[in-house]
Amino acid sequence: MSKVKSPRLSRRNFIIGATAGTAAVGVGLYSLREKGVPPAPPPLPKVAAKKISYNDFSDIYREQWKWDKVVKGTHTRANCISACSWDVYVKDGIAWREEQAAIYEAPRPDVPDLNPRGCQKGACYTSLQLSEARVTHPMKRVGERGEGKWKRVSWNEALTDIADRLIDVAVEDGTECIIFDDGTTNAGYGPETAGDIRFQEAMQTTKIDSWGGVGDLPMGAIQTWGMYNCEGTADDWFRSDYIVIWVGNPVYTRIPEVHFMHEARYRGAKLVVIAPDMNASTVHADMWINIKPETDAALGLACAQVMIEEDLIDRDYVLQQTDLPMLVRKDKQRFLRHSDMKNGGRDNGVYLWDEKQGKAVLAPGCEGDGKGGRSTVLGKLKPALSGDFEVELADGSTVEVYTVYDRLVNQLNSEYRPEQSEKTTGINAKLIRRFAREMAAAPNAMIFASWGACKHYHSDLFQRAMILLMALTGNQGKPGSGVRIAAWWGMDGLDAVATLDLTLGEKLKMIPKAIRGLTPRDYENIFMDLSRKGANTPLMTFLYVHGGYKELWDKEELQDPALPHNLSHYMRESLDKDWMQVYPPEDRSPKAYIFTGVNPLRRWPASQVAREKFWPKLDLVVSVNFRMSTSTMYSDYVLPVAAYYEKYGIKYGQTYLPYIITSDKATEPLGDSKSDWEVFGLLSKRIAERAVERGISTVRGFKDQPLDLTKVYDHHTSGGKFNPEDPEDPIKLMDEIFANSPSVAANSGREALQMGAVPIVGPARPSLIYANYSDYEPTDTHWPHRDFYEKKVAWPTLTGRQQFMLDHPWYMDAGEDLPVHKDPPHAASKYPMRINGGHTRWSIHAIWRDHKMLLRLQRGEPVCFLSPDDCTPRGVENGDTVRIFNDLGSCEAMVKIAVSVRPGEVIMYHAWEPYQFKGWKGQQEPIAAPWKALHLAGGYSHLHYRMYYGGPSHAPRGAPCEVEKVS
Amino acid sequence: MANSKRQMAMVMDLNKCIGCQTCTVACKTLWTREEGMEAMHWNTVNTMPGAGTPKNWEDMGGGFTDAGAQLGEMPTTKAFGEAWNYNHKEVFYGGKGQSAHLEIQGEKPDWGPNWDEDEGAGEFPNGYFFYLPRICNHCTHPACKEACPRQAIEKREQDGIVVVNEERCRGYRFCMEACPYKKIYFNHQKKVSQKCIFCFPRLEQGVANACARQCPGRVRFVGYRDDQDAPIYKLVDKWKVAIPLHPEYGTDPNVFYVPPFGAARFDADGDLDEETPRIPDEYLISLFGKDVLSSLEILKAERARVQQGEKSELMDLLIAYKWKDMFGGFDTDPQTLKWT
Amino acid sequence: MKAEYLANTTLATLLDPTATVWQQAVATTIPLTGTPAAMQPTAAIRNSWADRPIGATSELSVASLHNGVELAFLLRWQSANPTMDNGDNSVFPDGAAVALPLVENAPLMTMGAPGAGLDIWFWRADQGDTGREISAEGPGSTETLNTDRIHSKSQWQGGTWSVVIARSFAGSVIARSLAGSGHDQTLALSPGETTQCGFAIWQGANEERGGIKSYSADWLELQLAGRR
Repeated sequence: MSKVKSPRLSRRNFIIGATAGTAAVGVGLYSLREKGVPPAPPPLPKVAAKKISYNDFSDIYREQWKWDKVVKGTHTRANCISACSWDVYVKDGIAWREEQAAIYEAPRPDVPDLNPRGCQKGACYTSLQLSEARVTHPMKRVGERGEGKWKRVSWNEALTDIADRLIDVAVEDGTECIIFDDGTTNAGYGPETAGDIRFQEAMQTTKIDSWGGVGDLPMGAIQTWGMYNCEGTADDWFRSDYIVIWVGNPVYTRIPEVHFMHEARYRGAKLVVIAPDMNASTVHADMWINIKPETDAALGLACAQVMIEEDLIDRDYVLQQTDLPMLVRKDKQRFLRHSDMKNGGRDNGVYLWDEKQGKAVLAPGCEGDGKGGRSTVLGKLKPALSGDFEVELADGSTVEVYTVYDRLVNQLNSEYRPEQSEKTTGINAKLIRRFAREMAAAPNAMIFASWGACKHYHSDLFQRAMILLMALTGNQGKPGSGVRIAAWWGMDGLDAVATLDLTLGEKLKMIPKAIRGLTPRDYENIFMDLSRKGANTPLMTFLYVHGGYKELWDKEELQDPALPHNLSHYMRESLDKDWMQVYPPEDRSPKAYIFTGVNPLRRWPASQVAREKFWPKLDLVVSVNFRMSTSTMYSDYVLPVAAYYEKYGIKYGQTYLPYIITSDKATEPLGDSKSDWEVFGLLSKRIAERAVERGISTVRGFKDQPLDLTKVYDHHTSGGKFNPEDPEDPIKLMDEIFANSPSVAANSGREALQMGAVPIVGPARPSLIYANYSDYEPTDTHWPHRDFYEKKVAWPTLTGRQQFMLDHPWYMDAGEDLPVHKDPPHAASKYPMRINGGHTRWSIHAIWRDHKMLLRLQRGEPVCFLSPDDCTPRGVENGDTVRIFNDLGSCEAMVKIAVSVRPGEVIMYHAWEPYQFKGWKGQQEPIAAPWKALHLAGGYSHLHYRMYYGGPSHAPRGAPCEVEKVS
Repeated sequence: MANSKRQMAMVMDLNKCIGCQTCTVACKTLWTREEGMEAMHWNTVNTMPGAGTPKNWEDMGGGFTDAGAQLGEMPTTKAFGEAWNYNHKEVFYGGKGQSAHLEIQGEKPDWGPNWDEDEGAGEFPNGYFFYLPRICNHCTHPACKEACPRQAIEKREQDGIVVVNEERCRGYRFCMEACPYKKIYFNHQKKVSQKCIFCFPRLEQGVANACARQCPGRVRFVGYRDDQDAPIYKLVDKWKVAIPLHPEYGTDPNVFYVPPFGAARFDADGDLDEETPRIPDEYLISLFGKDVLSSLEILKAERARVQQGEKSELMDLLIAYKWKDMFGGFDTDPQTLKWT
Repeated sequence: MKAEYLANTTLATLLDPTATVWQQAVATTIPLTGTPAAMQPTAAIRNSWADRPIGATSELSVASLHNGVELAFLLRWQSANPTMDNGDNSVFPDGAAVALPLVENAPLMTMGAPGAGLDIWFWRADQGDTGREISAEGPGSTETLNTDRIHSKSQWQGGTWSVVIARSFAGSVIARSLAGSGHDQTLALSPGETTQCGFAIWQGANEERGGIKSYSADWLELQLAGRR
C-alpha cells in the first residue's frame, strides 16, 4: 500500500475548533477545510496459495497454517502507548492467531521503515481473550466485596438495578456523586470509548482525571513549555547523533519502536543510558551513566555548568528560544514586569535588555507583549544574555536588573560544578564533563525520557534540567533532537466522540482570534475553558479530599522540608482560589463508582487506604471490563464487554507511528459480553426509561444545574442520531469521525477498518491532548516543536519562551524558581532500601499479567529484583520469597538476584494484580507516593490546572522499605 | 551425510535483540498449541550469561567430538520448564476472598524457559548481559539426524531444513541427547520428538519464518545460504561478521549471530575504561569461538567509518532500511494468500 | 515351547496374567542378552553406549496359550524399578516384544533383514492395553503395521512384570503406506503349525529403548497345538 499523499495541510489555515480527542468535551466550531483526501488504495490483491502436499507427516504442519479469513485488529483499550496493526487470522469461527500487518512505509529513503512493530503481548491476545480471566456474563456480587461470590444475572436485571441505584444517587445527592473513571488513556479514539464518554456527559457525573494520577504528567515540561507534548515519529530517532535514554527504558516499553535507536547506532549515533540500574536498555548502549537514584537534576545542572563554562552553548538559540535573557529585578529576584515599569501596566509583560538601544524592551511573544503574545521574532532587537543594568520604574525609582542567565550561571557555578554534583550523583566529574561535551558537540542530540520521567517526587526538576540541556545546545525543535516524552495525533472528527460543545456566545467570542489564526497560547485558553465545563477532578486531589488519603499524605515525613507549610495548607489555598477543582464538592461524598478497564485497587498508591476508607463510602461499584481485575473483584456488578477483536474500534494514536490504527470485528463477542458502545448506550437508555417509570425527571447535575434524567438517552445518542443497539451503529460513528478528519487517509469507517493502518497525511487541530505544534509532512519524519523553532511562534508560557525561571511565590518559597536538585522527602527515611521500578516488557498495566502463556516465560509469580550485595547479608537466595515492608504496608515476592541492580534498590516492575500476592497485598501496599504541593499551583500564566494537564502527579518511586526473607 | 541442494539459513543480530520474546510467542501460537506441546518453545530467548533453556544446556554434551558422534545428557522436562497451570477459578469464583491467591498449581517450579531473565554476570556496575535467541540450527551435519536409529529425521533436499518425521519417530529420544544445542522437545502425548520446522509451510509459500517476520527488533535475516545478492551471504561469507554459536559442537549450524558489543566499562574511579570490553572476550569466545574477535573488529571499524561520514555496506545491511530486504526474497505478505 | 490349545477360553481370560489358565501353563525360562553396542545402528549410540551395560534383563519366563482364534504369550521378568512415561523426558517406559519370523531363521539379532522380515508384537508400559504390531527388516527399519490388533494386559507386582501379549491367528491387510516389509498381510498363523519366536525386553530404568534392550539370542521353536 502506498501512502496517500494529499495537498499539504497547514495549521495556519485553521479557523477554529479544538477537538476533544479522547477528552470528554468537544468544541466543533467549524472548519473551512475540505476533506482533501483521495480514497484509500484497494487492499493488496489476494493470490492463490501454491498447492503443496507431500502426503506425508509434513502435511500436518501445512494444514495447521491455514485459515478462513483475515481481519485487521489491534488492542484498542489496552492503554498501550504503541499502536500496531495486526492481521487476525480466523479459523473455524475462532480468532486463532495474529500476525503483524506490517504495511508501513518509510517517509523518506534514508530512514528505515516502521515494520513490523508489535510485541509478544499483542502476539497472543487471541489466547488472552479466551483465557481464564475473561468475563463473559453479567454478574452480581452475592458475598462481601472481594470475596468472590457471584451470581450470574441477565443484562436486563443488571441494567435495571444499576440504573435504579444511579437514579437514587442522583435524586439524593446529585449526579456529581456518581464517579466515572476511564483511567487515563485506557480509551480509544472510536466507538469502544465514545459510549463511556457519552454516558458520562449525559449523566454529568464526576470524571476522574487520572493523567497525573498515574504519574504520567511531565510537570517539568508544563512548567517550562506550558505544554508537554514533545514526541514525533519513532523513525525520527534514527536521525539523532546522540541518543540519551534518561529515565525511560525503551527496550522494555517501546518494543515496536526501539529498533530505530539501535539502527541509529549503525548510522554512527552514540547511545547513552542514564539510569541507576543496568536496565535492559543498557544492553545496547555505548555508555551507561550509573546515577544515584533521584539525583538526575544534579547531573543535568552540572552538564549545564560545563556547557556554559566551556562556551559550548548555542547562543542564538538561547537568546531567541529561552527566557535566559529575560530581565530579573535583583531586589525581588522576580521578572521585571510591565506593571513595574508602567502604572497600570500588565503583570504578564516581561523584558529583555536590547543592547542596540541600551534599554529594557518588552519581550516579543511574552504573554503581555501587547500583541497577544504570538511571536518571538526578535527583529532588530539584540538581547543581552548577561549583564547588570539599571531601569527606572513607574514610580521613578531605579532598580538593578540582570538576566535569568546570570542568576542561573551564579547558581550553577556555586552549586553544580561537576565535582559538586559528583558527590550528589555518584558520577565521576570527568564522566560528567565527557557527557556534557559530547552532547554539546553532537549535531542532533535527543533525550528519550518517556513517561518514566514523571514518576519521582521531583520529576519536574529532572525535566527542567533535561530541557535546559536541550535548550542550551539548541536541540529542541529539530529532527532527531530534543526532549522526547510523548505526543498524540489529533483527528478533527473526534468531536463526534463526545457530545459537549462550546456555546454560540463562546464561539463568537473566539472569532477575532481565529481570523488571525489561533496560537498555542489561544488554544491553551480554550482548553482551560473546556476543562471547567465538566466535573473533571484530578485523581490525587480526589483521593485527598474523598478517598481517605488526607491523613497519609499530610504526614510530616512526606512533606518537602524546603516548604514552609505542609500539603494541607497548599491544598486549602488551591481550592479556595479555585486553582484546583474537586467534584463532588468537599461537603458531599461520592456514592457510586463506575470504572472501565482501570484497576484502582491495583494502581492507586497504598490501595489498602482506598479499600478501607473510600470503598465503604460507595453504595454502588460497577466494573465494566473484559477481564477479571482485582478492582473488579471488589465491585458489586460486573458488566462484561467484548474483547478487542470482538468489536469495532480506533486505537488512540501516539505519534511514534504516522498511522491511525483501527480494529475490525473478527468474531462475535464471547458469551453474553457486549461492545462498550452498546453497554453504555443500554445503561443510558435504561436510566431514562426508569426515570420515566419512577416519575423522576429533574435532578441536580453538574454544579447543581438541573438535569433531566428522562433525557439522558436522548443526549447520549445526540438526539437519536445513534442507536447503540444496532450492531452497525459503531460504524456510523466511525464514518463521522473519519469523514471529518482531513488529517488521515480514510473517508469512512469501513474504509478505515479495511486499511487497519490509516496513514496520517497532514496535521490536525490541536486538541486537549494533541498539540506538539509541528506540521506533519508525509515525506518526512515528524518531530515536535517546529512551530516554535522554525516559525518563532511563542511558547504558551508567561515569557513566550522555554521558561526556566518561575517566579510564582510558591516556587520561590520552595527554592524551585530556577531548576535545582532537591532530595525527595523520603531521603531521610529510617528504612535502608528504596522501591523502584518501571513498566515491564510483560504486561500493559495488569493486562497480560496473569496470562499463563506469558507467566511461563517469567517466574510464574510476582518477582522483585535485588542486588547480590543486599541479599547476602540478609541470607536471601535467588528464588526465595521476601517480604518488602515499611510502616505503611508490605507485600511478598520472589527474589531474582541480578548484578544489574544497584545495591539498595528493590526493583519491582509494573502492575502485578494484588490477587497474585499472598493475602492480595499487592506491590502498592508499601507505596505512600507523596506528591508535590507545588503541583496545585495556579494563578500564574502557564501554571494552572487544566484537564489532563497540570494536576498533581502520582510519584511512586523511591519508597523506603526493608526486605526480609520469608521463612 | 546427505547433502541438500540448497540450505536455508538465518542470521540474528544480537545488537538488536531486546529479549521481548515476540519470536517465542509467535512460534508458540503458530506451531505448539496442541495438547502435548504446552511446554514447548521451539524458539527461546535467554539472557546470557545464564543457564538458559534447558537449564545448563551448554554443559550437556552431544554433537561431534574428536571421538566422533556423541549422545549427551537428556534434557529433562523440568530443565526445559513445564507448562504451569493456575487456580484462576478458585481465586475469582471460589468465594475464598483474600485467602486464595493466584498460584502455580502442583509442585512449585525452580526453573523455566526464561527463569534467569535479566540477571546477567559480573559485578555492579561492571556487570553484563545480552539476549540470545535460539531456534533449531538446521545444521549441515545434524547430530540429531545422525543419531536417530530410525532415520526419522530428515534434512530436506530442497532447503536443508531438518524435520522430524513424526510417522517414523518412535520416541527413542536419541536425537534429544545428540543435539548439542538441546533444541528438541518430546511430545509426551504423541510420544514423538518435535522441534522447530523453520516454518517450512510458510517458506513454501514465499513467507518468511514467523519468528523472523514477527520480530519487532528486526533482528533476523532469512534466506538461502548461497544467495549472493541477499543479506545472509553478505553477512556470513562476505563480511564475515555473522558466526555460528558453539562451532566446536561440530554440527555446522545454519543459524549465525552478529555478536554483541556492550557499553563501556567503568574504571576504579568511576570514569570510563574504554580499553577493556564490558563483555569479556573470553566469554564471547566460549560462545562463538575465536572468530568472534574478528567479527567485533570488523563491526567496530565499519561503525567508526560511518561516524566519519563514510558509507558502509555492512552498516546499511544491519540497519535494514527496507524490512522486507531482510528475508532474502521470502517476503510475501501472508494475509494475501488465499487457500483453495 | 508349546502353546497349548484351550478351547472355550475367552480372550479376556487369556489376557489376564493372574488367570488360572496361566498358572497351569508350562513356562520356559529364556536367558536374555544385551544387544551389543557395536551392533547399534548409529555412531552416536555406539560411541555413547560402548562403555555402558546394555540389557538389564538377564532372563525371561515365557508361556504361551491359544484358544483356536487368538494366540497369547505371558512374559514375566524381574524389574526392580518399573517405569512408565511420567512426563519427564529422561524417563523411558518399560517394554516387551514377541518376534515371529516371516521367513524361517530370519536373523533375529539384527531384527530381520531385507527379504527376511519379522512380525513383532509389541507392548509398552505407557500405552495401556493396546500394543502395536510392527514389521522389521533390519536395524532401524521397524514400521508399525497396526495399533489395534495386539491385545495386552500387564501387571507389576513384587518386582516382577507379568505381561500378556496376544493376537489373533489371522493375518490382516497391511496399509499400503506401511508395507515396508513387502508383504501385503501381517503374518498369518494357524493351530497345529510350528514356527519360531524370539523376545526382547526394555528396562526403562536403564534408559533402554530402540536397539538398547535385552533379547533372546536365538529363535525358540514354537509349536501351536492343533485342534483335538
